[in-house]
Amino acid sequence: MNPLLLPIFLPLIAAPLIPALSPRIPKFRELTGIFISIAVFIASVSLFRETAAYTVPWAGFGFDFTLRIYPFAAFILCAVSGFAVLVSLYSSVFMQSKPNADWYWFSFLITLGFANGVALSDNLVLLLFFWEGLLVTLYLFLALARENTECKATAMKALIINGVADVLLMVGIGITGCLAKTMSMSSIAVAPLQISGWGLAGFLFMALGAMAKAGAIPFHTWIPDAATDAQLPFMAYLPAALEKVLGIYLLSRVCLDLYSLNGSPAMKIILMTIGAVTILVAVMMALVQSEYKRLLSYHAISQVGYMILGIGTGVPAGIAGGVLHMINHAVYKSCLFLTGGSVEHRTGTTKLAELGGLAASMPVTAICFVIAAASISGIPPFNGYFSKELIYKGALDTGYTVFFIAAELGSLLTLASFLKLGHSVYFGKKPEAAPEVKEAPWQMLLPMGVLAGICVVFGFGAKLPITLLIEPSLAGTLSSLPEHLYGFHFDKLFLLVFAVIAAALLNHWFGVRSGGSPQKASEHIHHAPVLGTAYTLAKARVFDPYDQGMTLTFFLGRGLYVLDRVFDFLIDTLPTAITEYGALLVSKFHTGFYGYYLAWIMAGFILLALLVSYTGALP
Amino acid sequence: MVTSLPYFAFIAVPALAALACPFAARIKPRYADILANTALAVGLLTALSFIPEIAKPLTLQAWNMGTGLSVFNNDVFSLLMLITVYMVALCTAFYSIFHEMPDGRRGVWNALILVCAAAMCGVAAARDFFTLYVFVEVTAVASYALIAFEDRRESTEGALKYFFLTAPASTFIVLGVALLMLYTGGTSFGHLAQAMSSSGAGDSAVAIILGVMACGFMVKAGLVPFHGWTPDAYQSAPAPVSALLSGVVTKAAGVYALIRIALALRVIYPAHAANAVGQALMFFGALSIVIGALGAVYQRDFKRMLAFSSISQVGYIVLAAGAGTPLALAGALFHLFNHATFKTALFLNSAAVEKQTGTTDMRKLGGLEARMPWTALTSNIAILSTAGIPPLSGFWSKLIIIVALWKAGLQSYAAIAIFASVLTLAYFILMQSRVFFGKTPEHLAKVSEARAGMLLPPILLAAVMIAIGFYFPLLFSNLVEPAAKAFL
Amino acid sequence: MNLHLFLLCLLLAFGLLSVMARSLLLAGISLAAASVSLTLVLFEMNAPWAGVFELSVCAGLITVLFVSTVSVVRREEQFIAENRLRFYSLPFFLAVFGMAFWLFAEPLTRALVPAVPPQVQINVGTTLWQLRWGDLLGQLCVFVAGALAINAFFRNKNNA
Repeated sequence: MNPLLLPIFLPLIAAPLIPALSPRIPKFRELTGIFISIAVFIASVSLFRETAAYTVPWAGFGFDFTLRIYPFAAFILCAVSGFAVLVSLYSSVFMQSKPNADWYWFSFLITLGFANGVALSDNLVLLLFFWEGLLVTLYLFLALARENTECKATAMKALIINGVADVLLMVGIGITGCLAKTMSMSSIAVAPLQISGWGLAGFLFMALGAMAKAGAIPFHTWIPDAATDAQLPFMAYLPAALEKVLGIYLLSRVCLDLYSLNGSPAMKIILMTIGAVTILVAVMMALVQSEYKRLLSYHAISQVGYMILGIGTGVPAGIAGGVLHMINHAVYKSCLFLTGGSVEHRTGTTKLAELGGLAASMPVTAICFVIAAASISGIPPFNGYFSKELIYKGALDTGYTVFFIAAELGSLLTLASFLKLGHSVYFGKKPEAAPEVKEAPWQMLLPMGVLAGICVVFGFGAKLPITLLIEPSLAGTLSSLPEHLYGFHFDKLFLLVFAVIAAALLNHWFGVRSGGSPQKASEHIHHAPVLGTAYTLAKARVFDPYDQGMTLTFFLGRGLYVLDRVFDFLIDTLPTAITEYGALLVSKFHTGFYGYYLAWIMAGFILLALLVSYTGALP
Repeated sequence: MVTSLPYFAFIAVPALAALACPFAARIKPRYADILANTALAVGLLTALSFIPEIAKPLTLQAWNMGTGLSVFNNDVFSLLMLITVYMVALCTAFYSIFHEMPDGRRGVWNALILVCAAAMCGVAAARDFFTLYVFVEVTAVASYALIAFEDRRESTEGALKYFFLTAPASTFIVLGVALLMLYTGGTSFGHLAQAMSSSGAGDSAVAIILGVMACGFMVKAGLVPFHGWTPDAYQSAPAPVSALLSGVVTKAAGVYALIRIALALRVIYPAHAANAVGQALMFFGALSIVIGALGAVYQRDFKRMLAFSSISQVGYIVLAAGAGTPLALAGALFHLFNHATFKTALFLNSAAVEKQTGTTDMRKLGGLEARMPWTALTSNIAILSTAGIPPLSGFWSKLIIIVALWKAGLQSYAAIAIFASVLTLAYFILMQSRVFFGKTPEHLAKVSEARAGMLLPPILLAAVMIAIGFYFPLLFSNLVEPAAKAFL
Repeated sequence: MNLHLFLLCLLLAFGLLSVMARSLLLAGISLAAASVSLTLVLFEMNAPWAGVFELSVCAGLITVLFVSTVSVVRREEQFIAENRLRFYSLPFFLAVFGMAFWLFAEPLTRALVPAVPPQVQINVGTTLWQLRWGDLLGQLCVFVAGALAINAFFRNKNNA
């Protein structure tokens, strides 16, 4: 059994066992989930240093089952399975009393298997197969999350948005495969395609597909809805971690291996613009949220903008920054979601208005939150700062300072919203109605702690992730990162961070003053002149492409119905009527009278004579 | 020369058995049945055994004036007809074992079937138009007697119509033969071929001769507008006789000769375009397809519906024959054989239904599938094959015909053929649903499945259809293409 | 008007009479007369053997017909009301057809010029026994079929 197959097939084989056996064996699903995740993690770690490939011809036309492990893939594999271990441990407690837990664990394992498949696959069609498989588990996670109808609507929304994106990806893969005349990614990587003509379309579609998975604008609208409707570990697992990892992984492969991004300045600008817009729009939305998880989900969308911006710069610093940000973000974002989960588990609510002063009763959670929040805001010495720094350097290198400004502004607003969040939930006064709570159980604290710890480690030892993970991953596609670019530097960017921190603190103090409580710290921005209207419209879902699309579909449906009636007439009613008439005519002629039939014979003979004499008169 | 001897035996053996049948029946009625079935079975097996050795091309061979033995044909087409005739006659004779009739009449019944079979073999084996005509007349007499065998009013009416409408047909045929004799000095296929290949200005004469003959044969085949006798004869005849009539009598008496004429035309007209008689054949064929299909749609009696369906299918055969290209002729032959299989199966099944339920009116029937599963199954298979649904045999023959028409540039005829296929499927589904599908009404609740013996021929025929359908792609390059090439 | 044409017209007239006659007996007689005139035509065309065969058929035919007619007809006058219009249309159509044929006779005879010269005369024996033994076999089959058919019909009649 080839070791490459383990990370993919082990979870896939274990998954069906859960709905089958868990009614009979107590705790079966949690234990299976945790153990399989640990097993896959160990398998991934053992594959870490290897470079191997495994090919099985599958369906002809170049659709082969090709797996390949190389540093980047190994890195992704470890990341995915590592998160699986942590989230499975967390879920073992969180999901105990939640509905449809069997299906949750089932989807969990299948997602793990398929995600590993995406990471390991070397054939574009195989990648697409695993990628699309993730759609199914996404739907399962969302549709079965709660016993109400909203989650089904959210599930459908997520399915359609991701489905559309996957179709784009499919088209892009098709074009790429045709252009390169092969579906094998490693073969294409030897000579990446140019982004011109059809290559432009292929690159664009694949990039859009990858970015949609990661959750960039305009494919992001399902994530905040999922945040309220789905179970929390799902949020920590998929939108926070896995989707970003896989999406950015694919995006970087598209930009570096399959196509050479550096050859197309226009594409770079487009990518950077998408990134910058995502950063700003999402963080503006995040700022005014009043619910813990929704706020976090908007931030998840926003951070993706950084990654896309980084990769879009095309310079080594930016790309390395984007990929580093991917892993850093996964770490701190899932940590943040897990803290939110702990709060929900103990207090039963995630509305900011009902929470407060939890630092005293849930100290460990609070500390993890602070570390993660500092990371996400880009405050040294945590990991977020270092990846953001690389991205800033990359953005500056391109010469378009507007992107740098957008990124810095994003950081400012991120910090502002986390100040609001932290102040409201952990620090500040406890509302009278809130019950007394204890700290979360150890199964929940451990993953949080591990992730927070990684934030610290990747922060203080900033060279560690770069040399260990990033550089080997991007080796061969990038000129190596100059030593001086990463790690801690005392330079202008560092000073700028303090300016940002100061500005955010000022904004928060002003907001608390004018709003009256920490929860209302962003109200001054919420009701600012132009922004206020924009926020109102956003709340009415005017900017949601999905909802607008659905309205359009309704009218389209009406029109198609009319068309269908026309076709029905042509195909069904008309021929039947003609046949009936013909048959009646024929039956009228068959009178049964012998003489009449004889007359026909004579008529036929005359007809024959005529036909024979006029040759060629008939077709 | 020597190989024409066995062909003579194909005619003589059933004829002798026919003479013996009434006497055998006097000893015990069953003996007549056994004699008839044995004779036909032996004949079928012998005919099948000839398949490997036969490789003669399908030409109008020159008639050897010196020796008289080469009177009978020995090419692939004749062999195919022989096999078809024996197969259908055997099914009919086998079914007759279970058909109710007074004991004293069994001998005559079997004898008539044998004579009919012998005569049809004679038609198939004849190498001369006059001989062919004589055997066609024998077929007519025997069929007439068979149709009117059970002394019912409508069957007598059907038989009378048949006889009196094929009388002008015989006139036309004889007229044509006489003109041929006048023009070429002889009546054999060889004479015709000789005349056609040698004369340049004789085109109009050939067209007149063949046209007149074709008119007569078209009546015998049951093409529109010469088909007046067909629905009444098929509907009113006793059940096994309908199978025999539809399966082989019209084929042997009419279609065979038409295809021989089409073959003859290929001598001077390799392509169809300038061919007057071929064009006429195609026109009448297409007319039959459409009118047969339209006529079948709203029939209330399922035997009558099957009769119109036969008209339609014979139209396909003649349309393809008229087109005249090698592929089209191959398709016509294949469809001829296929039609014999499915129509026989359908008529025998209808006989079983009639026997078990006592009626052939579709308005009074319904839901028989539960009570008569095997009958329903074989009917379904036969219907799907007739309509041309893959992977059954009918699909392949129709496909070949349509492709051949298209390739010959006759797109409009091909379109008519395709359209009629849809109609065919439509009326057959109507028939099936009315007779077999749905819930069983109370008055039919006691109906039981037909006896095993009655089911045997349809089951075997269905097996043949399925086997040919599945094996056909394998056989295509081995059978169809050489057969098509054999049409020189 | 030569003998040949006269005899043919006679044949046609008797045939027409046999179809249109109201009395069965008259129909039978005119059929016999038509058969006789056909025999004369054949003799006139120098085909004595054919004439002889035709005469024998005629004789047999007359016998059978008269016997069966007499056995069927019970009373002298047995009128069944029917529409005679159909019958009177027959001579009319015959006349039309005759005229049409007269018009087309010229091009037809021109078209049907023999392609090959007529064969050397072979005698009847060779014709029947060597060249056309297939037809003889066919004829035997006709006899068998005819006998069986008569058996099928009239046996039933006798039984019923």
